[in-house]
Amino acid sequence: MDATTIKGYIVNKNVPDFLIFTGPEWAVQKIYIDKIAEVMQLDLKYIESISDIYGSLRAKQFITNNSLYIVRDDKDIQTNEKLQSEISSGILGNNILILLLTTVDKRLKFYKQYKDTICEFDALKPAILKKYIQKEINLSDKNCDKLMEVCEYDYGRCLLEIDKIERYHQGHRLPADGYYDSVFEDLLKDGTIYQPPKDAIFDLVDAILDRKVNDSFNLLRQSYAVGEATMVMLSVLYNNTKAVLQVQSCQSNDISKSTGLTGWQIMNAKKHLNHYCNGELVHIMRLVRECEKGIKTGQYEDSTVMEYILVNVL
Amino acid sequence: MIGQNRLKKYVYKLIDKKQFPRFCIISGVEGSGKKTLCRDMQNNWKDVLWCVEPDNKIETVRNAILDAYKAISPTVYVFYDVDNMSVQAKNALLKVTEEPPNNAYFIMTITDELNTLETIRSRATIFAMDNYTSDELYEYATLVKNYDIEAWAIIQSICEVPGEINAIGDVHKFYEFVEKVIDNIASASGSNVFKLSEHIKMKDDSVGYDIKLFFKTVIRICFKRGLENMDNFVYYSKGAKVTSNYLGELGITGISKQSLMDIWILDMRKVWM
Repeated sequence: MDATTIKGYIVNKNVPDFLIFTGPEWAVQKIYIDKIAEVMQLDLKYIESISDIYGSLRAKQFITNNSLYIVRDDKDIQTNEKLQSEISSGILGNNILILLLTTVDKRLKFYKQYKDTICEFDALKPAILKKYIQKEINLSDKNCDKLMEVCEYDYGRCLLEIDKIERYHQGHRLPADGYYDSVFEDLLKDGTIYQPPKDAIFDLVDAILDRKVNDSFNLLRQSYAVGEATMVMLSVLYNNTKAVLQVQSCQSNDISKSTGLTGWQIMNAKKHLNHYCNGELVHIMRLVRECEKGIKTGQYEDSTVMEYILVNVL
Repeated sequence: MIGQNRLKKYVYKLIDKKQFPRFCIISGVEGSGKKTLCRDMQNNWKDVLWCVEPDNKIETVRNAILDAYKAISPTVYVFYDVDNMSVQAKNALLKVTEEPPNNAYFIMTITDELNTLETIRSRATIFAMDNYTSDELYEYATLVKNYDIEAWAIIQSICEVPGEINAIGDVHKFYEFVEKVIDNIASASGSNVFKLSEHIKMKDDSVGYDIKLFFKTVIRICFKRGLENMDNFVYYSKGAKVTSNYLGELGITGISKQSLMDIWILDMRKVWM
């Protein structure tokens, strides 16, 4: 099922009593949920689990307000076959239940059974997303592209950042149609608009080899935020340190022939020469290997190893 | 198959009596003939189907388990080198090995028993490969190549299992290489000395000399030279001691051979310079 089918249900005011929404675009899902509640005249209720309302659904009541129940990642519905059959046989009555799933396990029987009930909200295409953003706020094309990039093309996140811009705009009583671009640029610059951390592993190793203390610790934090594995960091640091040692200690004119390194490796290593003496570079290599071995043998905790190296090296 | 007479006798006795365990682990060092034993069993145990799994991925394990429950005739499922099998795959196997299906036998080969789950070990019958005698190794070496006496003396002092004889290749060339390393490791320039690792096999798919054999040969040459000239005994025994430490570290699962080799080079230079 796709969003167009849901749109058809809403137009015809004939929404099925059980729907499953999935996909990354939670903001679009929210728009559809609000619309269903409005059109079908239901009270919108977010519940923790289907068991919260199970009792009231089974009880016979004279006067009830029908509701649109929203439940996220409820395991009961996915695994309890009795509950599934009760939903199929109409236990929901005039209520509607929408199950929001972060991910759908396609191996489960549940997926096969409800394949036609699942509506996947894929990420919006950049051109469409741009239109939506410009409908909300008067941003230039360039800044619109930048906003989409920092929000990783997620409509929901774009809306949150637009909200920040608008609030800042209102707070400073700026003219109605102008200054959105400059507000966006200012907020981006001072970090109010969140920019996801970028791959920092090579910058981190460069900072360590250039003996930049503050940068090294900041980039390490950034690397952890991105989710870089400690073993990868150790491996890159080890290889680059070894290359610097080889180039720094080479007295031959033909470095490539003498060390076996490629032109690219030599060029990179040359950027970091003379920040450490040869003995210190050997110390880094030994330390990195010691830590790598420690992780493999369970002596060291891999979450603290990089800090340990930085403290000992810088 | 050469050697392993005690183990073979025991295994075939179990097969003849139809008492072969439903789930067993064949354990032995690399090159000790675990796969050869499996192939030998495959050739002699004819009244069962043999299904040798191509890899140890979780999908392969799951498919084998599904297959095992459907098997209508006795089938042996073989998983080679399960040391690096993922924990998920091992857990999947655990369920089936607890109570193997009627027609299924599972055989796993492993280098170090500790590399598998204790719960799997406790459910399995473990067949440990025996050590090879000098005569058995000689018999194997003569089958592989017509080695001269000198080469055989080197092999005898370094190789403990047939797999090592296969890995050594040209014995004289290998020995000369190790001697050259020992002679020059302390005097070579710092930038050049790391190139030595280009001759060592660092990954399964790369070419070069086996690192374990290399270290064992270094130790052997160090002792030989130290004993030949007692003035140099301390010098060479230091080299042997350092190398022996690194030889031991090769047993750590997942250890980086490249960094191990580099730091060995640095340590050897430290004690010999």
